[in-house]
Amino acid sequence: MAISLPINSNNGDRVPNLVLRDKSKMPITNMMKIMSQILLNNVQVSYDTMDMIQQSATKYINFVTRKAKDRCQSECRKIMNAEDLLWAIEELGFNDYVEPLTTFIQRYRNIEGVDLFTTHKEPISHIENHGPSLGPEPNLMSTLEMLHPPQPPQVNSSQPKFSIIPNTNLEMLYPNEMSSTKIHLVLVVQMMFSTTLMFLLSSIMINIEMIIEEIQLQLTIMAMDYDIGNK
Amino acid sequence: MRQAGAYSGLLCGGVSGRTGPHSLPLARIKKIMKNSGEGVKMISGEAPIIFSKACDLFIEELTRRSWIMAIQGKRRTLHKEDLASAVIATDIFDFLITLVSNSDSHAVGGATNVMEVETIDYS
Repeated sequence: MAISLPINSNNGDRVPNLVLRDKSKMPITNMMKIMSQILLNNVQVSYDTMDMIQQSATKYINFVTRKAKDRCQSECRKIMNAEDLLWAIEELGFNDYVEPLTTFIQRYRNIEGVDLFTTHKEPISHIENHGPSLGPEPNLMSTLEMLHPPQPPQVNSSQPKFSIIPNTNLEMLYPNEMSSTKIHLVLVVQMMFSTTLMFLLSSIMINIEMIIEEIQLQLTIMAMDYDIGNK
Repeated sequence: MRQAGAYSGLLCGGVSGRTGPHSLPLARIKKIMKNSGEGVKMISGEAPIIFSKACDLFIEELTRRSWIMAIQGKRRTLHKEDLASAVIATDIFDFLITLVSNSDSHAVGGATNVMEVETIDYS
């Protein structure tokens, strides 16, 4: 049975290729550490072999995940848990892995609260059932909370008071504020600028009208003098 | 058949002896699991932990069998041919035959860049 990786459409305009390609494989440093435990000091690994083992590990995860997904779909469950993976690993012929993995996951559940795992970023839903029997479905809300990335906490500082008096606003411009406060300051400054500009334009228009009226009056007087001069 | 105690030593000193709690990153494993098919929607927190250990055992077994092939060839460097021979000789590694055959057919050895698109399906 040949299983090929799904080839997605190219979206490389935003992210360079190397970054996405690295994300789709296991990191090579961790794999080198694992392999160095088996090999002797004088044994070397070529680059092609390392790349192939990287792809093998990725294909192994895809292979086991698809088998575990079949069991989830046959039992009408939507959350894939550890027992599904252990069942899939046993079904696919990796029988020697099941016993150490079972021991590993049991010890992991026992020492879940130890300080060694305080650096673990994701919360873990504790499944109490042991063995390959059909266990109860874990809590959906906790799983949803676990799957969603945690939002960074926002600092809800009280918004400073802003008035139309320019002196007060100018004082508020100098201290370094939060980004939301800066946006508010920018809006206030734009409003002040617009108001000042309209005021200046109105003043200029009034002056121009006064000058025009004065010029017209002068022209009328000059015309009357011209008529008197002719007679 | 291998001895049952081959992996017991790893479990005893495995957690405290490593640089971190897990030898492989869990977020990377979860991303690969989500990309393996459309049916995979929700994954519990323990599944990547199981996979970090399972991949550890898988890489160790693959490395050991490749090294046996290299020793039979009187060499001290692992090559692709050693890995291909190990995959062909082992039944449980049949799903990797397409990988090694594709790699052998393309003599240049350039790996194809598989792009991926982020899909969010919590509707």
